[in-house]
Amino acid sequence: MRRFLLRRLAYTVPLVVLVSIVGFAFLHLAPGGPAGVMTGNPKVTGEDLERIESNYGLDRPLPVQYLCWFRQVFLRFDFGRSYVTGRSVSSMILERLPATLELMFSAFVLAVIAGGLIGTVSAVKKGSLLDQVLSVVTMTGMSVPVFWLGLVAIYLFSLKLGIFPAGGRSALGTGGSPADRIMHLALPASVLSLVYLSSWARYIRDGLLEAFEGEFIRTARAKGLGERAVILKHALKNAVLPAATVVFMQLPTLFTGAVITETVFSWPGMGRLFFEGLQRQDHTRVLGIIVVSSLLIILFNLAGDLLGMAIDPRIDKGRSGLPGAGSRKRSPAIL
Amino acid sequence: MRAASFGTGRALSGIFPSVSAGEKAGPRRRFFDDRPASIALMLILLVAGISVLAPLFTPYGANGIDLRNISSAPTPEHVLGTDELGRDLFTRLLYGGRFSLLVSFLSVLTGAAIGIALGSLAGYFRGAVDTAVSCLIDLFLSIPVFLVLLVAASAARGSFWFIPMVIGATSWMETARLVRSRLMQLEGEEYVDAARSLGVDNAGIVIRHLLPQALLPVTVSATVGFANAMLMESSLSFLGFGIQPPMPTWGNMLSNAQALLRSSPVAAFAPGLMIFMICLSFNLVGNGIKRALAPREQ
Repeated sequence: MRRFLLRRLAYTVPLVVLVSIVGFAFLHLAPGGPAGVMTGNPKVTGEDLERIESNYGLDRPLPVQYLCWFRQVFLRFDFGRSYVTGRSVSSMILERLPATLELMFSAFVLAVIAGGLIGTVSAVKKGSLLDQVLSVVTMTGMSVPVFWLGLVAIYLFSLKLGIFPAGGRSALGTGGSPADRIMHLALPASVLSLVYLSSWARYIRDGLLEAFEGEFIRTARAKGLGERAVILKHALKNAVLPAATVVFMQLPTLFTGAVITETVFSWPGMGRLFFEGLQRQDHTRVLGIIVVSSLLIILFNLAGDLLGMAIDPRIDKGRSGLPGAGSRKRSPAIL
Repeated sequence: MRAASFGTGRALSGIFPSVSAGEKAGPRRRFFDDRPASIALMLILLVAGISVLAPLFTPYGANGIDLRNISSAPTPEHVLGTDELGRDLFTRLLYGGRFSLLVSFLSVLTGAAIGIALGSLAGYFRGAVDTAVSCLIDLFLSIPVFLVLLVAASAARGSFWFIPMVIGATSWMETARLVRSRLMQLEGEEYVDAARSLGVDNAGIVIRHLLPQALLPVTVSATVGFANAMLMESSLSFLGFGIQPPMPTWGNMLSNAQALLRSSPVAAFAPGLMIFMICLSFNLVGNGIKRALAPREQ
């Protein structure tokens, strides 16, 4: 177990460094650059621009710029300052992180409960009309553009019915009572959960159907257990595990969804911070968020694998130290 | 079935392996017995056909502007109304279909090419090559790919050719894994040894003898991948980093959708409905093929 952890940690650093190099390279491929935003201002002359660029160190060769950034981030744990706001990137991210985690966590819980229910019902009633209807529902979740679903939800529930607010995390000026916060959370969390819910429901259904064929289920039935106990205590326990590892593997999906959902619902989270930073070519901010989300995903994956190993000793820990390598099934790449 | 697809199966044009005489209902038959899947397939062909033949179905050009009717509601003149610049929405939906389908197709092609190449390298040579490829797959599965994709797309500035490449470069992992594991299963088959002893080189063995047998799972994953590519393109476009207007795609027709919710809901919803419909169809077809190939698993 300790070897597994050490190995995993040994992989984490190069992984994050590699991701940051790729991000850095692409950011600098884009025309303009952080100082380019200022060329729109007629009062900024070419000389000013050169001075600004040399102040920021943007006139140095790219590898040097990357190494400076690297030293700052990985040796001093400082993400630098935003080119746009001038504030420290770490504090900008820390300010937004709770909102993102709140949204992702609610979506996750919602998806696990609803998806688990849908998966169980459709496995038990396999082949029935209900199963078919539910399979259309989960298929819908995998086929609908998240941002568009968000727009439909805003149109229906905010503009037409007026039940939920159209965006934000709390009503302006109120500070946000718990009820108000929940009303604001309801739409974005439900929309974000749908993608996740679908794959979770499908894996639970497949896992249950596989478990129903197992001998231990026949034994449980033979010894006179009620159908409910057979399903809940024996079959579901075996179906949840493989599904759980897959679901932890799909956490990047939730980050994807968060960027889009936060933008549609003006949710003040890290995803929107990222999107706005990208629009304004705020390199330090964008790279900082990429690094933080990579670390978060690796952390969640590790937690998922440890959880899986703790419950199911059959999982092979030797394969590779990379995140998710311990899981037996893999997720399809779903947006 | 393996023998059949080794011999005559490869010559068959379609997705489906040849039906051997002993099987009563072959995969092809099973696929068309699956009503949702076959309806979905027809829908895809219909939409693709109408999009390709767009000029036959609409009198307007994709970027033609009708200044007297800006943001108009549906009228007999403009079946679905016009957008905020006075362009006919129905027309743009048809032309948008061309580009959306093409972009998704190119993305899937790129992803499949990368996946097949890396997957066959790993599955055929094994050892260090396999370790490297497997690490690369794990790497891509454990990073926030979409964030990197967004950054890459912002560098591309909406280039029509670059966007599919970027989407493909981030969605090859499933294909690579499928090809890798299929090739590993096939190692040690007698005909592989036979081909090798006849002097066929590695590339020949992989391309002529091994890859054709990995074609079916790859087709299923490509079908589902088509839906994912379309969703990615539309998300990129919605955020403003995808294919840039005036070239219409269903995704970038929605980039203003949020502002249009109140004034012209049809313009805000119709392109999304098309994306949804086509993606659902591709997922249903993918599911149908999977079910037709392995009927017991469902």
